[in-house]
This record gives sequence, structure tokens and C-alpha cells, in this order.
Amino acid sequence: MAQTITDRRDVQFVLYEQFNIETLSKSPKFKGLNKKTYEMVLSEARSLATKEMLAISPEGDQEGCQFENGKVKMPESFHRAYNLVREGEWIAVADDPEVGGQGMPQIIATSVMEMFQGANVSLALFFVLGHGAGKLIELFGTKKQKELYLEKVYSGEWGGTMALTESGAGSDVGALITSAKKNSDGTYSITGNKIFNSCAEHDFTENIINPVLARIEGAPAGTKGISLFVVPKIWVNDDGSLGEPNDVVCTGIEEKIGIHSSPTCSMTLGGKGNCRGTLLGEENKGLNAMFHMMNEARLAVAIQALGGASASFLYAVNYARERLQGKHLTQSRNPDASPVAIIEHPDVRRMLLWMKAQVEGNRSLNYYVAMCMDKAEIAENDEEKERLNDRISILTPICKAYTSEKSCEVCTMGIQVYGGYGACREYPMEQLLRDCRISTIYEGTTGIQSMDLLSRKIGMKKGKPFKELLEEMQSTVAEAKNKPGLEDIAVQMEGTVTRLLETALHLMQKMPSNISAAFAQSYPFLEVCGDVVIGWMLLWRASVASSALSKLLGDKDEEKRKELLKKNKDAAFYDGQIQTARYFINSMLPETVGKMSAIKNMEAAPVEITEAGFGG
Amino acid sequence: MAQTLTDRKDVQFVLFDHLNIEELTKGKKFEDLNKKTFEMVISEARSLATKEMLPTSADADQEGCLFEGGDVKVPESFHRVYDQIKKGEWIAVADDLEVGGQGMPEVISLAVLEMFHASNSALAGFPMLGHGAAKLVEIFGTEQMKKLFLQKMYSGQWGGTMLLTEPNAGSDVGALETTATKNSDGTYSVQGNKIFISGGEHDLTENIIHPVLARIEGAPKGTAGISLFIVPKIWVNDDGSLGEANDVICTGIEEKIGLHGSPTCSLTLGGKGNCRGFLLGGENKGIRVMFHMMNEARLAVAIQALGLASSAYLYSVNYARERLQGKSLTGAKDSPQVPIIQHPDVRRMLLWMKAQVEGNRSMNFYTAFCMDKVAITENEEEKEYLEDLIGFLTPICKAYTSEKSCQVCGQAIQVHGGYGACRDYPVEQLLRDCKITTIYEGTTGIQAMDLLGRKIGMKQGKPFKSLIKEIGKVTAAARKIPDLKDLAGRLDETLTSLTMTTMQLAQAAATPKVLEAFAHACPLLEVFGDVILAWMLLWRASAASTKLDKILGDADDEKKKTKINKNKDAAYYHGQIQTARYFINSVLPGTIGKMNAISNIEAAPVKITDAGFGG
Repeated sequence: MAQTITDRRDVQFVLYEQFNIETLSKSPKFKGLNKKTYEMVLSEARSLATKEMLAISPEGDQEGCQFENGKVKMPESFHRAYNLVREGEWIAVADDPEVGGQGMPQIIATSVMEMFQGANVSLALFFVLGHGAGKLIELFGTKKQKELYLEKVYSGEWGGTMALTESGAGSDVGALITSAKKNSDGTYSITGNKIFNSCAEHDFTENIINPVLARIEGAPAGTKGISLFVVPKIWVNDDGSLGEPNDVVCTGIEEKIGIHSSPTCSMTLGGKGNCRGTLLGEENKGLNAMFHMMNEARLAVAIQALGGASASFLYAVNYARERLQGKHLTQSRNPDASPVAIIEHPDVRRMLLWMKAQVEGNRSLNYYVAMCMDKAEIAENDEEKERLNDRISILTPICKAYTSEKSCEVCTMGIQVYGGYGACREYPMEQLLRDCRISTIYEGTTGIQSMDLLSRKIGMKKGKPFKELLEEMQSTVAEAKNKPGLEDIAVQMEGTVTRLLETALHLMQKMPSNISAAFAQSYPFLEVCGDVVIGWMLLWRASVASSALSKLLGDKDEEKRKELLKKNKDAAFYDGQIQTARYFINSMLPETVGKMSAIKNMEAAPVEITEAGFGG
Repeated sequence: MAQTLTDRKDVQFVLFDHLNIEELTKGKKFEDLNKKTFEMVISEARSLATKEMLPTSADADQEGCLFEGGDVKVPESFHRVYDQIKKGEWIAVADDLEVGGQGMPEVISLAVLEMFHASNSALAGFPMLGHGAAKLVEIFGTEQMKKLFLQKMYSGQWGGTMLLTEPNAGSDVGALETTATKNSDGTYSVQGNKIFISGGEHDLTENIIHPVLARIEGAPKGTAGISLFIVPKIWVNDDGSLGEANDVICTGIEEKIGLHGSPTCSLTLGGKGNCRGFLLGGENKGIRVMFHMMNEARLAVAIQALGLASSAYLYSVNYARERLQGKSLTGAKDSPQVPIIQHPDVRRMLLWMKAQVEGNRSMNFYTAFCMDKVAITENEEEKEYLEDLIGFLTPICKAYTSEKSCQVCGQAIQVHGGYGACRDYPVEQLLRDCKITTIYEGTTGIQAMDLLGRKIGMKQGKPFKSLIKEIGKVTAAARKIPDLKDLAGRLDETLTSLTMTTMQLAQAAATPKVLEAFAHACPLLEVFGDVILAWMLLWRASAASTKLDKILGDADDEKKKTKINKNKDAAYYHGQIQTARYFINSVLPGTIGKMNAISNIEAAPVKITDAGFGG
């Protein structure tokens, strides 16, 4: 049967051939784990995703969530799948066994989540959010808070959320006005209205734990005066038993373009003056704590988008193999020629290859970041740890923004491959696009990520992390230069990396005197960074594949090689890696270089044009 | 009140300053018309679109069409508005008075259609399809057919469609299996199943006229054996009265990502053996006839997409002016929140959208304007020159405008942030409604093949050279304007690259590297689109520059700035120059990069094995 969601062979290639994650097992933390364990975990997750989560996704889209009297009802079929995820302990895959986790590397958790997201975004979000809330408590909670909440949140017995956004505080979180007032018993009374809270009300679990950002009375304005609180939907008594409802009321859910079974809630906290929370971390340090969660959430959104894109790509490939339409281009004047599968048409191949390059390149990028986390965990010295953390930090905005933007484009292209059928609900493609659409917005829009990259990440530590990243790319280039079939694209890549450094330096130099014009280039700059990172990842893949392919092909002549490529699935896979890199580096990167020239122009028109000049 | 459909000032500018369509009134065909008439027509259409069509759009999206027992109910609110479209005679704006048209130039008709689509694309589809079907009857029909159908179709009393697609004949129309058998009375019995038929069944009109592609028994395979038939839903007797139902049965409608108010029908013709049609335009000549309609339909789809993009842009500008969020990048620490239009990245998004909307508006209006010039010219050479340009531009209008419009709608969601994804705001519907435009009436891939496979090489490249010549005229003029000199130079350089890239790819297409060449057909179409947009925006900037100079006069820089900030017209003209600057300096370098990529003619898409795609 054709594969859906993620390509098993490709995932294995990334894990064991490109990144060689088995080396992680040398550390005490992952001792005892090996390829077999990983494969078992992934295979079980795949089975759950395919058989249970995917099957109910269209139904969830059609039915959506029902809001009535402050309650949110989930589609009936989702309950069973939610419980299966709980039973399988899929929420805390990469967390320590002592807090209820499976103790897997982050990169394995990422791969699991990619499948869950590819199968059913709406449902998978519950686990992302539950985990995020649990992590905050694990990292910043008191012993008591951990005792009360941790195990229940990580196990999925209780749900979790993150309550940041207010109607006047979206991208500008420092503008929030929800207030907190200390009570004599050490708790805080919380009052305010939050919007766009995913999964803040539903009927999966008896309780929901909301980490809430609020301002303690008298605290400074802006982000400096924000504190974080744990606000349960139902109060949790000191002995762990459930108390009274905590005056956390859902006042409505949004109707949205997609993720119809993910309730996007408006919440009123303390409308009757009875909402209490406990401080998480320290007073006025809320943003600090929240940033931890945000970084996790940003990578999770990238994986969400990637999962959707991966599913869209696989559906498109399968469809293109089956759909007969049009004659082969070389037979176009032959009235007796039969129609061919559309995968035979050059333009369809181009679309598929573009999708493949994006999906695989972004998969490598995001898995790479997860592996850096794993390596940082087991790093033996602080220097190495810092280097890895810096790498994660510089790549996070690129993962969030680039992967989500390109994934939406992949889903759009997936519709195009299907032609008219792509726009119809009978086929999965249009839902994949609709479900993906929000990923460029929440957890920090593409614009916010671009500002983060340009204003904080590139220049941090005098540009050391950025330069080290480029050096890492050049060492991949150096290796690829010696591989058959990759010499020319390695050279092309080398030049492009050098151009990226020049572009970044140019932008950094001009920024102090032209700050607005420079920031008008922030997304174009993030995009070229993303392109180059994808080029790097694809070249890295091709380099590994080239060695593997040479082994398979041996000294065979051209004719026999061709035959082997057709017959041997592995050979076709490896060759496909080389073709993908060739395509991306020869057909996409020249445009990236052009975009770098555009950035260097630093055209001031976006700043110069008057507001009235926009018309309307 | 803020505008929401198309920018009035911008439409006026394109018509009267940029393209100067008043010159058409020198032609006999349009001699009774003038700027005032044009503006009146547009203004009435705007009023209808804004007051009637727009308010029913969101409801129709929610309500959709209902299919029951072979009948299709369109959203209730559409009935009243459709009647107003009929009464206002909005279906045949650019058609001759004697067939019931308003006799306006095509370019005016396009401006009207853009507003209709911007306000309610699902509803605007009905008059658009009705017009296309009627046009076929007008051009290819017998006197009797014209008498029976034409007036009723152009007036909207009866609806119209186009029945091409079958489950196994989509992009490959030559694969169709619907059959026709000649009857003794000269009519043909038609039998087959058609899918994806927009407006194939509905309750807006008492009758629907279907132009149907079918193969007469014994006709050759492929497109050479296709004929076109006029198949009414209800048979029309010789005296014009309605007869029996004609065995055209709707078997279902699609649930789609967008255009929920537009029924996409599956139709069974002659399921009971009782479906009859009239041959239109000769046996086996169907494709030639249909191509006429297809070209019209392709431009209409471009305008549909453009209308949606225009609306998405205006909503975004309005939202960005009102939404307070974040401090000014250059503001002091405790400065208040500012409207997001002050953030550089939001301005970049808006300016990109503006460049796309305005550039594509100019390109499509220009193409229509060429049609109007064809209609009034008496010089055969000029006529051919213009027709070549139209033929060359049509696939670019269809593919580029639809692709970019979808991106504009996507960007509009982004400007709205989280609200953009919510149904409470209009932009997510605009994206959903726009999505089909890159697919129907020939996908982007099909248009790109048309460009590379037919249009570029036709007449030894004459149409292509004509296009380059026209662009050259604008850059030559812009070089004389100090503020635009650098932009003109850049565009000229880009033109040189475009010519080289095009020739290189066209040559490759004529060699055994044909598959590799066609793997670059879409990228080639895209760079053509980019260059044409730059041409249009520079042309606009030139016209605007003259106007701006008049307003600013000899004032010093400080006073000029004040004027630009205070005077709405000055701000508009200044905005035209900034838009051209942005596009040519910030977008076009990427286009040159794309040309370099095409020149590589990378073979990977052809070389990769089918298994190598995985899955």
C-alpha cells in the first residue's frame, strides 16, 4: 500500500544515515536505546497515526467543535483516539522516565509528532499544548506544583494550554492587561480576558491546566511586569483532589479556515471574582518562563506544518502515479498514443520535486535542531553545550517561519497536482492547506520570527553562532566536493553561503543608520537564510546518499546502473536524494542569490511611501 | 468610508492616465462614448457590487448550494441580486447594442467584472458563464439559433455554462467520451457524463443553455474529432417557446474549498436517451470554436482572481491602519502602540500586495484594451500586431494573475494575524474563493505549456518581439525622467536576460532535451509575468511622475514632502513611483535569479526515477 503521512524510508535515512543518531546511545542518558527501540517506537506511533488519527481527520473537519453554554464538545470519534494516545503515553515521549516520560531523544519525539500532525493536526495540538504546560511546571514549578500537576498533565489525564493572547495583545504580548492580585494564602486572584486559546475548553479531560500570563498589581508596564500563573479550570486541593470550578469560563470559540476540531477559545478569568492561580517561577519573570515554552511551541508549530506538507506531498505523488491524463510530451502528435500517468509530465515532476525538496529539506532542518537539543543534553563540556544551544537559538526562528511558510506553499502545490479534484472535499488536499494556514501566524508570526532573527540572533555574541553555522555548511560542502555527481552543486552551494555572509554583513552594517529600511528586509533575509539552510541539508543528504549509492552500484557500467536504479528501491531512493539536491541547488538557489541582491539594494520604498499612498 | 473592492482612484488612473482609453472614442465603434459615460457605468457597477453583491457573499459562503432530487438551490439571497444584474444589463457590457449589449469597450467590461468578483465571486460566475455561452452562439450560431437563444442569454433570462470536463478528460480534453448521433431532423442526440460544470444546474433562471463538447459517432480520436453542440436544459421550440425537459440531469454537486455559492455540477446527458442538441460551428470543429470561449474564459478567470486579490489588499490596508499593536521600531521606550501599518515588515507586505494587484490590473486591462483597439483599427497590420500581443499575453494573464492573486490573499491573512484565519473577517474566504483560479480553464501548467510550446515560437517569434518592443517604448520614455532612470535601466537589463533565457529554452525545446525544457515552462511563464509587471508598474510611475510634477511644481524638498503627505492625489502619484521602485529594486533581482536558474536547464526533474519520489 502507498504510504501516507511521512515517508518511512526517508525518516530512517535522516535518523540513521544523515544524522547517525545511534551515537547518542554512547551517553549515559540514552544508554540502552538503539535503532531497534527507536524503530519500535516510531512504528507504533505510525500505526496509531495512520489507523486512528488519520481516519477521523476529515470527520473532525466537517463536524468541528460544538460550543454551548460555556462547554465545548469535541467530535465523538476524537475521544477514542485521545484515549489511545494517553494509554500509549505519547504526550511525553522525550521526557524523563521519573516524571512519566518515555525517555526518548527529542529527535524521536519530533518524528512521532510529525506523524501525529500529518495525520490530524487538530487532535495532535492537544498533546503539544498539554506537553508545553507540563514542561513549564517541570522547569519552573515548586515541588508542590509538580506534585499536584505534573504527572497528570504529562499523562494526558488533564489537558494543558497557554493563555497569552488578549484582544489588544497579540504580537505585542507586553500590552496585556489581565491582572493578578496576591491573596493572603499565597495564591493570586486573576482577572482578565484571553482570546485565541487553543484547547482551553473541551470534554476530553476532567481538568485543564492553564499557564496564564498576567500583571501583578503595581508591576511595571510592558514585558517586564508580566508574571506567569498556573490556573486550573477546576481548583486542585492540596491533597490532589479536585475542588470547585475556578471561575475560568469559555465564552465562545472561533470559526476558522482550518483546524476545525481544535477549539480556539475566548476565556474569561475571574468574571465572578473567583479565579485563583499559583505563581509559576518568580514575580515579573513570567516572560522568561514563557519564552521557554514559546521556543518549544515554535518548533512544534514547524513540525505541525511539516507534517501537513509531508502528507500533502505523499498524497500528490500517489495521485500522480495513478491519475492518467494527457499523452506523453514526446507523443503529443500521435493520435493513437494512450494517456499516461501524470507523473510522466515534466511540469508535474517539477512540482513534485519542488515539494519533495521542501519536505525533505525542512524535515532535516527540524530534526537537526531536535538532535542539537539531544546533544546539548549530553554534552560533556559547557563550551559544546553553549555552541549547540546557540545553534538551536539561531535556527528556531528559521524553523518556525520558513518551515511554516513553505509548508503552506507545499500544501497549495498539492492541490495543484490534483487539479480540480484538489479543491474538492472528497480529497484530503484542501483540508491540509486549510489546517496548515495558521502555522505562519500563531506562536509568533513570520514577521515576528524575522525580526527575532535579524535583531537578536544574527548579531548575538558578535555574530559567532551565525558564522559557525555557515562554517558548518562549508564543511558539508567540502565533503560533497569529493563525491561523484555533486562537485558542481557543491561549488554552487559554496558560493551561495559566501554570498549569504556578505548579505548579512551588509545588512548589519546598514542597520544602525537605516533601521526601518533594514527591517523592511527582515523577512526576505529570513527567507534566504532558510533557502540556504535547505540547500545545505539537501547537499548533506546527497553526500550521504552518494556514498551509499556508490556501494550499491559498484563498478557497473552506465546501462546496468540505470537498470539497478529502476529495480532496486534503495538505489532509487539514494539517486532521488542526489536529484533533489541537484534540483534545489541548480533551480532554486539562483533565485535565492537574486533575492540577496535585492536585499542589498535596501530599497527604501516601503518606508518612503506615505500611508495615504497605499490607497483604499 | 474605506473602500473594499477595487480602488476607485487606481482604476481611473489605469483607464484614463496610464492606458488613456479615451483614444478609443476616435474609433467609429466607440464614437458616441466618452470619459463621462465610462465613469458612469463603472460607478453604477460599483454601487451594485458594494450595496447588493458584497452583503450576500459571506452568507452564501456559509449557506452554500443545496442539492436535492436533481435540483440545485442557490443561496436565497442570490435571487434578488441576480435579478438586479439582469435588470441593469450587466451581462453583456461590451457587446453590440443590436444583440442586447451595452456597447462598451472590453476594458470597461473588465473593470466592471473585477468589482463583481471582488464583491462576490460565486455570484459573479453566473453572468460570466452566461456571457461566454452566448458569445459562442453569437459568433458561430445560425440565424435561427441566434434568434432562439441570444437575447435571452445576454439578458440573463436564461443561464449558460460550458461542458468540457469529464472524469477522464480534464486537462486532456481530447480524451472525452460524450457522444453525439445525428437525427433525421438535423438535431443530434447527445449522451455522456460531464463533471465540474459551474452553474450546470440552479434555480436562478427558467432555462440553462449548455455548450457541450462531444464526439460524433465515427469521428477521429483526440481533439480533431470533437464537435460543439448547444444543449438546452429545457428544449426550445422553433417559435421560441419552451418544450419538454431535455434529459439533462444534475446528479450531484461538489463540496469545495471555496465558491460555495457556485454549484459545481455533475451532469448526465441523455441518460434516458432523450437529450438533443444543435451543432454549433461545423462537425469536428468543436475545439476551434471552444478555444474562442476558452480565451475569453481565461481572461475572465484572471479578472476573477484579480478582483479577489484587490479586495484582500484593500481589507488589509484598512486593517493595518486601524489595528494598534506594538511600538514604533524607532519610538522611545514608553511610546504607545501604533497602527501596524507603521511597522516596516507590514509595509513590505502591503507594498508587495499593492504591486501585485496594481501590476496585474494594468496587465489585464491592457490586454482588454488591445482587444478594443483591434475592434476599431482598419489597418490589417496593426490588427495582427495587437492580436499577437493578446495571444501572447493570455496564458500569462491566466496563470500569473491567478497564482499571484492567491498569494496576495494568503498575505492578506498574514496581515490580519490570527483574525485573518477567522470567519469573522473576510480574508480567509477570499483565499478559499481564489484557490480554484489556478486550476480551472486550464491549469497554470497548461498555460505555461501554451506559452512555451506555441506562443513563443509562433510566427518565428514575432509576437514575442512585439512584446519586447512595447516594453522598450516604456523604458525609453522612463529613462528621460530623472527619478525613474535607474529603474528603466534595470528593466532594460532584465529584458536582455529575458530574451536570452527565452531563446535558450525555446531552442532546447526543439531538441531531444524537450522534457528538460518543459520542466521549466512554469518558471519561464513566471519570469515573463514578473517582467510584464515591472513594465506596467514603470509605465504607471512614468504617468504618475508627470502628474506629480504638476502638483508639486517648483516647491523645495520640505514643501514637496508636506504636499505629498497632505494632498491625496500627490500621495497617490508618489505611491505609484514607490511601488515601481519597490518591485524593480526588491523583486526583480529575484526574477533575474530565476532566469539564471532556468538557464541551467537542470535535468533532475526528468532524471529522477518514479520510485525515487518515494511514498
